Amino acid sequence: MAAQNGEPESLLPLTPAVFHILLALADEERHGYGIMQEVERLTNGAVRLGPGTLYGSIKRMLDARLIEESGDRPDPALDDQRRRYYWLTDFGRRVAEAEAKRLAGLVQQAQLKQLLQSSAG
Amino acid sequence: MGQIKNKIGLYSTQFYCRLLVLYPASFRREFGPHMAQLFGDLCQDALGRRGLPGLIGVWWRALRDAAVTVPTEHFANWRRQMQRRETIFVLLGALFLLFSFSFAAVNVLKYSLGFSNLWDPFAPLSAETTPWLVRQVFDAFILGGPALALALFLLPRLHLRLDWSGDEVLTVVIRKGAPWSLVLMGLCLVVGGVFVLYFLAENWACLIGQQLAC
Repeated sequence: MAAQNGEPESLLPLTPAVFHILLALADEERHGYGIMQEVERLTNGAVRLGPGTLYGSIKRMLDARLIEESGDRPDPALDDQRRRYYWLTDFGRRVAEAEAKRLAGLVQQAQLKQLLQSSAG
Repeated sequence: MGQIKNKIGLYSTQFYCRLLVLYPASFRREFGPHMAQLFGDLCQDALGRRGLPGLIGVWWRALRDAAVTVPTEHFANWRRQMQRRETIFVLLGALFLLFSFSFAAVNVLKYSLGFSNLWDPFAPLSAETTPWLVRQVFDAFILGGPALALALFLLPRLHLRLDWSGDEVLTVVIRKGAPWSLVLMGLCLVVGGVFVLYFLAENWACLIGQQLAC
């Protein structure tokens, strides 16, 4: 993943793993296992990230400043102190929005070519 | 029963920690403990829900994941190290280029400007005094110099990414360089181009010579 240069479009298209992680962090900050569970939930179990894929993607996303490590903990009393929480940066949100728009455009094209007729109807 | 499951989960995680040694050291230092903790959570979850078959499923998933991500992370690590050592690459490339450039200059001095009677720089490399292998290595360095220099200038600028999760496994992006590095790359192409033309011209003359002889 190229380094941040201010233009979200410069990072598109995102890999599926990166986009799923961005989606998982869109509503709240989560730790690694939380991200994995959320990705599974969002995709009805179709996408199951392995530990290497998850943390490899997280490393590249941290480098590109799409996400950041959170200093605050949602509830320190109930949680393991060793866990690292991640949250979406403004740039990360803009990149996720740009990717969502790109994918929506593709879906629109698929609809125009009547490739989604059976599922839409 | 719960204690046995806990122990199996613990041993399983310990074994996974050993597997993490396959990842690059910097990646392991930064994320190893978190990956191990995540794997432990997955094991406990799978054992609680589905017992031993669930644990086998977790291992199968982890091994498939490692088979893809270990080479990916090594590749990414190698690329980062290369970008960090850009100065060394550029200096080495400049040396190769200078070597080839000097060879071309000496050739011009010797043959075109007629200095051969006064000084022959290739005398120490004559077939009689120099072993065959040394001459071959010298020739390879001289002729391959511009190509080697170009590769050394270009390599740190290459942004390669291996990713098996998308359609494109290998993505190649060339980072923008400073103007002086572009000048050096241009110089490599010019010197290399001159060598290729010279080589073609020499062989062309030989071919025509053979035909005439026939």
